[in-house]
Amino acid sequence: MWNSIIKPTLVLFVVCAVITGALAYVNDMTQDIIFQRTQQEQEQFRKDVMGNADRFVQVNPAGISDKVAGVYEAYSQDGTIIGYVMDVKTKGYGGTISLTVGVNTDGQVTGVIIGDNNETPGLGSKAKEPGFTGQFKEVNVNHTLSVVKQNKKSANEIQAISGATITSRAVTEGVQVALDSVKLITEGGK
Amino acid sequence: MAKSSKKTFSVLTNGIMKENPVLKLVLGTCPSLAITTMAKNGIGMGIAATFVLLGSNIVISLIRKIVPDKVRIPVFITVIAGFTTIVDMLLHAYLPDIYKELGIYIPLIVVNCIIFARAEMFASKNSVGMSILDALGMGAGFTIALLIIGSIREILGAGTWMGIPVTKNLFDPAIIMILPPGGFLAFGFVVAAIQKFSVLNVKNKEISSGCGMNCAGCAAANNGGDN
Amino acid sequence: MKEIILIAIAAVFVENFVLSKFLGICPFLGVSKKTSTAVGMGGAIIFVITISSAVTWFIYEFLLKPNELTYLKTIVFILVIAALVQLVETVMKKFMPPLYRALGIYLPLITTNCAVLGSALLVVEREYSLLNAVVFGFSSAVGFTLALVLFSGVRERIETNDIPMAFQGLPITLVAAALVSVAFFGFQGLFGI
Repeated sequence: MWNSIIKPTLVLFVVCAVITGALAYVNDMTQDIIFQRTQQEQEQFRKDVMGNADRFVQVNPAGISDKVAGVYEAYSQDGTIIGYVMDVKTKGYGGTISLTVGVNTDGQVTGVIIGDNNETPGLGSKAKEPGFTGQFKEVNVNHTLSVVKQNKKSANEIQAISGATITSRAVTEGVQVALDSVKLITEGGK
Repeated sequence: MAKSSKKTFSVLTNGIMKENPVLKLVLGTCPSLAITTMAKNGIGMGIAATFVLLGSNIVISLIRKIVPDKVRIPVFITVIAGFTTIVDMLLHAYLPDIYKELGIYIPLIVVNCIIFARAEMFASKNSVGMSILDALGMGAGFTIALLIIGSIREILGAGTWMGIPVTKNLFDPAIIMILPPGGFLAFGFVVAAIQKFSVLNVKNKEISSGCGMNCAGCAAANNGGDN
Repeated sequence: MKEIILIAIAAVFVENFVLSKFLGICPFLGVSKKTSTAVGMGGAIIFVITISSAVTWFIYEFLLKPNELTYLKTIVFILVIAALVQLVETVMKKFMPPLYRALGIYLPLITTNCAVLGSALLVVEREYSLLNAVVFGFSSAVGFTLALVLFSGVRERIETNDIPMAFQGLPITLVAAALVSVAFFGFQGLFGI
């Protein structure tokens, strides 16, 4: 009885308990670091897309698409609003893609940064290269964006990354959401 | 004394050459193909897996005498899964870039046949010291194999190595190498090259492997069936 | 409805578990020599993955998430899968002996198959609903089986060819797999996926 049932069960139970305990400990230790780093990263992204902003203030305008996870007003040093930065989440190939999109008060995109994503390793990470995201800097709120595979003819046509069409489409869609949101905010204000 | 230090040395190099887990035993093929789109990823995965292997080999070797045979497999799984999760969390916190690159393949280390096979075939039957050496050797062998495959794919497929452009004016990179087919190709050619130069090969028409199919199968076979 | 169909088609063709995501390679390279064994392995996997997709979904949604224990998912999932495989084996042995005899030896091997755990983890990562999760699991396993069966046909042909010594065994298998993978790559962009 001891050897055939109790001892095996006990050993297994003890092993599980010890391991779970160890995991809980490591989890505690790392969770804060991860959270902090995510916050810092996000803040850095905002600075990167809107370089001449002095600080950001989070706001909660009504009627914004629920793909937008956060809206930030960007203020210059003298206290005027120079634009908006949005955290957008779109559905890519492998799940959620987090985008940070900056749009200035003239309606021009100032930058797009791709954050957390689960796109194809190596391939999807090409999306982060300026060759792709740089295209968005020629885009403004009046554009309706579409994705093309080659022969990009105008600013509102975004050239997809070869082999990562879905990723490209998801990012473009996210930028479109940001543009529409900014339009809603600025026109709503008027 | 000389004999045992020779044995020690051979345990260490076993994993790198004679029984290289990826290239000879054909274990751990899933990550070998999946993340080797860049050489850097190969090193990252190799080190992560080595950490798990080291941890699990040590623990399993330590408790080998008190684990009843009946619960052997669940215990091994729990230990390996535990270390895998620890590596996952540590990478997420301290090496986020690598964490993002390796993605889902980090938790998949737990089903990496290499680790389970070594637990079953070595750590559960040998001292802690030897198990450490075995883990280091196998881990090194795994990392080296990944590095080789990853380097081939990165150089041919993206023209860079570790991110440094190397083939700028020589030829246009063949993107297929960093896509899935390229993984199979690179792996196949590396094994072919090894078989060509290996003394041990010759008439082997079967897949060159010990545990060609799967580890639980090995475990079952070695154990007389009761899983 | 459309979403389910897209998930299914994507899982079978566009992001085939074996040929695109490299999940389930060990049995793919080892089992696929004869078509009959390929079908057997595939059948067993379809069975297990479909059930495990549902079970792991429930455990994640109702046990791990509410209690902030998501970091335990790897360890819980793999133990659940191992237990599930044991259970399936026992049940099959008792109630479906002919099926058990046909699939029997492949069942224990499924526990360490990257495909099963990989499928559960992907479901979590992509935040699928229960229905989507099961469809995804089932379709992925079907894709796996498809790749396995196709490949066994290819390998049967290769057997009779004159292969350079260095490539005999594993290497030529991998090169063949590369070609099949290229073929499946043609599915990218299917239905806008």
